[in-house]
Amino acid sequence: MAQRSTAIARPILRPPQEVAWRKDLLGYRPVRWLVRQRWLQFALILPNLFVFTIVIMAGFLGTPIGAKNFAIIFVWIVWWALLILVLVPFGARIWCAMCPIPAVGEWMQRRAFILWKPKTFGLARKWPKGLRNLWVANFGFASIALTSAVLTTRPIVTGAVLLGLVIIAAVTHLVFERRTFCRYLCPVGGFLGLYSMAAPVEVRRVDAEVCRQCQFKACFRGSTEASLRVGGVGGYGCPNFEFPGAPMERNTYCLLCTECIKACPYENITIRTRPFFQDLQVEKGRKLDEAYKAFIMLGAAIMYSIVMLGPWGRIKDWANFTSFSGLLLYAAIFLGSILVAAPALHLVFTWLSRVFAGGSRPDLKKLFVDYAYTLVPLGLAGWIAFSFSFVLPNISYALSVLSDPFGWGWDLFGTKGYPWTPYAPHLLPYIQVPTLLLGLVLSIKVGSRWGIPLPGKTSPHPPRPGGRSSPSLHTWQV
Amino acid sequence: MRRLEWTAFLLVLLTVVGIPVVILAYQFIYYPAVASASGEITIIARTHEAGGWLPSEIVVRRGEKVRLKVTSADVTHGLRIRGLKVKSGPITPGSYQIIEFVPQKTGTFPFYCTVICSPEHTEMQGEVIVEP
Repeated sequence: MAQRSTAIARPILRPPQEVAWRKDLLGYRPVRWLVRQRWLQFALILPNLFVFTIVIMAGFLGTPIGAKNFAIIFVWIVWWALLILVLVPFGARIWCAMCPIPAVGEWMQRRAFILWKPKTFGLARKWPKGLRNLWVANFGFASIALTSAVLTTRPIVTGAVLLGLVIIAAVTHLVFERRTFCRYLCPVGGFLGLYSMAAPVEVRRVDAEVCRQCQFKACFRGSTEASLRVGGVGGYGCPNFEFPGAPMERNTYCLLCTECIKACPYENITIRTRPFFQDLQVEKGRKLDEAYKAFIMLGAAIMYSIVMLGPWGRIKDWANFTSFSGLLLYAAIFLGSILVAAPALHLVFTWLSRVFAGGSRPDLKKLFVDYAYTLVPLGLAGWIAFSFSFVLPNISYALSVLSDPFGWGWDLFGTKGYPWTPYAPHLLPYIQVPTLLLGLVLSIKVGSRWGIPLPGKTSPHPPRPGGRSSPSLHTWQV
Repeated sequence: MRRLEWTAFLLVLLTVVGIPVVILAYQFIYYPAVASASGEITIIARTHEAGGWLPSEIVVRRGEKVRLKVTSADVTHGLRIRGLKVKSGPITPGSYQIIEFVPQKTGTFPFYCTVICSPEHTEMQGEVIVEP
C-alpha cells in the first residue's frame, strides 16, 4: 500500500496563482515551516490559557463591578472585539485553533501537549447520530444569549459559565472522540462556523488527483507509521470530523488547527486566501440547523440592539432578571423572536418567492434553507455594527483593568487611573450605517444569484439546478 | 521530544497553577501582612441591603496613624466618621480612596455613608473604636 502511494507525485510546486485574490500561503517558505511545526497550536493556546486563567480568577475573586473587572472587560469587550471585528471576518475559525476551553480535554485525550501520538486516551465513543448537527449548539447559544445582560455584566457569572464550558469540554473529550465538543456542543463554535464562510482564507486540498489516489487519508484518519514513511510531520485526523481531501468545500467546520497539513504525506493541503463570502456559493452541506443559526444570530443582533442600546428601561430590567415574571416575558419575546418569528417571516417570504416565480416549483424546504444563507453577510454586518456601539465607548476600560485586573487596588502598569474615555462616539453612526448597508448589499447580491427573476425578466446568472424562484421578494425580506 | 513535552507541561502548570498561587499569596498573605504593619485597613462599601460596610467595626489606637483604603462594590458611596473630622469624597464603584488621619481622642465614633445610595441608605453605618 505504501509503495503504491509513494508513486503519487507530491505537488510541491504549487499551481500558478489564478487571480490576485488567491494566494497559496504555504508557498511562502517561512509560513510553510511554521504551519508544519507541532508546537504551533500549543504556542497559540498558551497565552490564551494564561488570559483565561486570569479571567476565571477575576470572575470568582475580583470586584463585582463589571467595568473594573478583567473578566468582563477582557472577555466581552476586548476578546469579543477581536473575534467579531478581526478574527472571524478575516481569519475564519482561527480562534478555535487557539481557544483554551477545549485545550485541557484535548491534551488529556491525546496524552500530549504538542507531540503526535497514535493512541488516544478516553472512551472515544461516537456522538449520537441524531445529534450530529448544530441544534444543541443552537439552543446553547440561545440560552446564553438570553442571559447575556447578566452574563456580560456580572463577573462571577462570566467566570462560572467559562469554567463550566471547560469542564463540559473536558468530560466530552474523555467520553467522545476528537473535538466532539467543538463540533456539536460549543455555543460559540456554531456562529463562528457560520460567519467563517465570509472569511478570505481557507484550508483546502491542492490537487484533487493526489487525494483520489491517496491510500492513507491521513487528513481524516490521522498519521500512521506507513503515511509517515511517505511524508508529513505526524498529525491527528481532523479533530472536527472534516475530511479535507474529500474535499472540504466550506470553512464552516474547519478549526484551522493545521493538523491535516501536518498529517498529509503529500503536502497536498494548503492555506489559501480567496475573495470574501466565497463559501456562500457552495450548495453542498447546507442544512436546516445551520440555517437556524443564521436566524438566531441575526435575530439576536437585532434584539440586543433593542435591549442594550434602546431607551426602554423596562426591557432592560426584564433582561437583568429583576423579576421572575419579567424574565419569563423577556424569555418569551427573545426566544420567540429568534427561534420562531424570524424563521416564520423567512418562511413566508420564501413561500411567496416560490409562488411568484411560477414555472417549476423548487422544494420549499430547500429554498428555505438556501435563502437563509443570504442572511450571513447581513448578520455579520449587524454584529459588527452592534459591536462597535459598545466596543468604542468601553474599550478604554481595558487600560485601567490591565493594571488592576481584580479590582483589588493594584496598579501594575501605572494605568489604573486611566479614565473612562469613549472613543469617537460622534463617528459611530458613520461607521455603523455603512457597515449595515454593506451587509445589506452583499446579502441582496448573494440572494440575487440564487434564483431566476420574475416572469418577463432575464437573469444574468445561470439558474441553479436545485431551485428556481423569485429572488426579488426575498430581497424585500432581507 | 520528551523534553519538549515536559517543557510544555511545566508551562501549563505554571500558567494554571503557579501564577494563580503567586497572585493569591500576594493578595491574601503578603499584602495584608504589609498593610497591617503599616496600619492600613481596607473598607468595602456596599448598600445596606447588600451588607453595608465591611468591616463595620474598626478598632484603632489613639495617637497612631490610621490609613483607610475605601472602595465601593456596587454604587457610589461616601464615608464620614463623626467626631473625628474624617470625610471622603465620592467613592465610585471599583475605585479606591486613601484616607489618613490620627485619632486624638478615645471612644466610639459612628461612620456612615454620605451619598444617598439605596432605600436603606440611612442604615448604612459602622463604628470606629479608638482605644487608648
